[in-house]
Amino acid sequence: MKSVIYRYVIMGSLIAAALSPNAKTQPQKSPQELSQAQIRQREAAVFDALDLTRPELAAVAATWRQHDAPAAERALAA
Amino acid sequence: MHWGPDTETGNRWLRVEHDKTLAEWAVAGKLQGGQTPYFYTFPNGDIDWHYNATQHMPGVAPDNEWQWQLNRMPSWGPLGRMYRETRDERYAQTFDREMLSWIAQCPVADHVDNVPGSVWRTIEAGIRMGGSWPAAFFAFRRSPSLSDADLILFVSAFLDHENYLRHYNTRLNFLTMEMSGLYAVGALFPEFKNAAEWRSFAAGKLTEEARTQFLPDGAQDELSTEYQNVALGNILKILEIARWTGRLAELPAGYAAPLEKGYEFQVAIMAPDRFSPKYNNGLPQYLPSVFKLAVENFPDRSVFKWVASNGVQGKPPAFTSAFLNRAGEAAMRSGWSRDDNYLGFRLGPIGMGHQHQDKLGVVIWAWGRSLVFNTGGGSYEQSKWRTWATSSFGSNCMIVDDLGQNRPTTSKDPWHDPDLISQGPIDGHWQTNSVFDFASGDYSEGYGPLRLKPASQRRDVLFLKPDLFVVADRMRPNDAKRHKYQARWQLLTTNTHIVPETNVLSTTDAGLANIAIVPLLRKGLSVAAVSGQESPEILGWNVRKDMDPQNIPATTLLHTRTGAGPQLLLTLFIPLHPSQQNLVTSVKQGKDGHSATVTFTDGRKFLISAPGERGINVEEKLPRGKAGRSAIGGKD
Repeated sequence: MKSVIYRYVIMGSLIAAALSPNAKTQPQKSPQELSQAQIRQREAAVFDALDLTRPELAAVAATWRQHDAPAAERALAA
Repeated sequence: MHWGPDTETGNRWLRVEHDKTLAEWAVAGKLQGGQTPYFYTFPNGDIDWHYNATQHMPGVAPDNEWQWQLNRMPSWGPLGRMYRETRDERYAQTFDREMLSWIAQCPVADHVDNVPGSVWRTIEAGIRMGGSWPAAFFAFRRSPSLSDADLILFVSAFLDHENYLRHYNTRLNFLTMEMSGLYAVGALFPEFKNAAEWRSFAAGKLTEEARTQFLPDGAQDELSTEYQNVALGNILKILEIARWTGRLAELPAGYAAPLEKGYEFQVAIMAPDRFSPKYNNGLPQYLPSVFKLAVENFPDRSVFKWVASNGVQGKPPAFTSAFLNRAGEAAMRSGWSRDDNYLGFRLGPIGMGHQHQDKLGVVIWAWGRSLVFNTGGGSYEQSKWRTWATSSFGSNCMIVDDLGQNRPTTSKDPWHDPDLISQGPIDGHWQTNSVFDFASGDYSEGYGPLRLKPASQRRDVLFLKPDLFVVADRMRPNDAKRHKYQARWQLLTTNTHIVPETNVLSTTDAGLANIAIVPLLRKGLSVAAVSGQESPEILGWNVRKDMDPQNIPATTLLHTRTGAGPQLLLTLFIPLHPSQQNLVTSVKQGKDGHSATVTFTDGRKFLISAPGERGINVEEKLPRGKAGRSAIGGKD
């Protein structure tokens, strides 16, 4: 008996939640951050698009050629 | 790099209280999308950039703009300004979180993604590149809350925008926003290999648009008084950024020169309260603010200074009334002071985009006060209000057999379609002299969804300077059947009174200028004024754009006549000073069916007639029988 009542309670609460005006007002849970692979891909796109022959980017070019992404990022952000 | 008000050293433009509120709300996940004044708090601050709050708010009409414009990042400006002011890292952390979530949710589109729900609508892409994103970049790039990796990700998203805007761009005011954004990032990140090409492409496009998007009279192709300035502002934005970043030499010589006409046009149609009339879609344009940009770019123009300074500097135009013969817009005015009389008459094509079905509509400012008005079309929502406000039913137009105008709004070749854009000077039968102005236009393009053609309309307007307007509507049926003709006058007040004996409606706002509307040919004419009605049809509303409340009661005055054969509706508009009430004591219709004599309380009489196919005549007789003003308008 308890399980039947419990089932009705659960079902009722689910229906109530579905009918609640708030139910429709919640946005879907969306990703808030990129995966590491996506981050690496984006970093590469930036460094590939840069004109690394520019004198002011010499430090960036040097570190990027050595595949030292954190150092290249530091140099570019500086 | 100097980036106007957004660089670390620039003028911060901090609007403390306003910015503080918006920044604190952003910290709490509460954001405003669109320009509609509705905020939404995202649970846990987790923003869903595809979410449209207006689709879920009881009593609020769904509005695609809310979600689209959420993606203009309206909070980043306030967050950046507050951060620079306080160095409170909560603002930087909020920005960082928003930025990373946007990049995670919004991979770049590979097509023009201008559909509901898009995060890559092309104008948002351009607008954020030219505004909120550079502002955030300069505000937060030194913040310890942003890791180097975060900053590089932010730059990668700029790069996405450049590639997107370079390949996916559209036309008209959209194109100006897209290209100003493309140029902005080309200037902001000259370190990119393609930056110079992006700048060159964007500047080249808008150099061409400055010449092709504006008609010879200065009107932008959309014939919208708001989007006129969207286009001007974005084309000039490239010039401004080039100035900031020392790249003026890159721009073609005379880049901005064609835009001068775009400001001259706005002076010519400016209303006494210094706003533009709201033609087609549009927010009100307050020209003293708008013209700051005109003065910056055309500093030698004394008239622009006069507008921008609200009459303190410079000189008013040498003319008063004007007809813009490509837009097909007449501006009849008694002078340039803030309490002059003004009538705007729109008799040209419908324009490209942002169109309203209101050909031959008029708007009137009585002694400086807007009284016979256009709504501007309201917010870009899906609602009965929006439908009404953009239709003939919500305009100062003629309704035929309960049907509104239905001009085509698209064309296979819009730039060469005279229904959308004038292909040469429009003959508005324009006359102007010291006594009167006259203009005339026709509508014969059909009514209702089936574009039926029960009749055509010719509307003549005569302004007897400085204080009387006469409108003659000649309705020509295309068959022998009886038809119903209804002239609608939208009034920006709910305080009105109709005198039963004359059917004269006067607005009655105490202490303010008012207007009297006199139907001169009353045989078979019914007169009614309705305010704030929703059913059985909307009547008497001011449908506003992006305001809360959106809609406020106004008045629709209806002049209705049913009959077979040609019909003439002849209407006199009398601006009333704040101290005046209805000036009309009697209206006597002539036996000829096209004239009437109006007697004023001060003893003056006016014989007003509209004989023949075109034209309006007015003769004024002063109290002792002396002749007063006389006008014969429309006789070529």
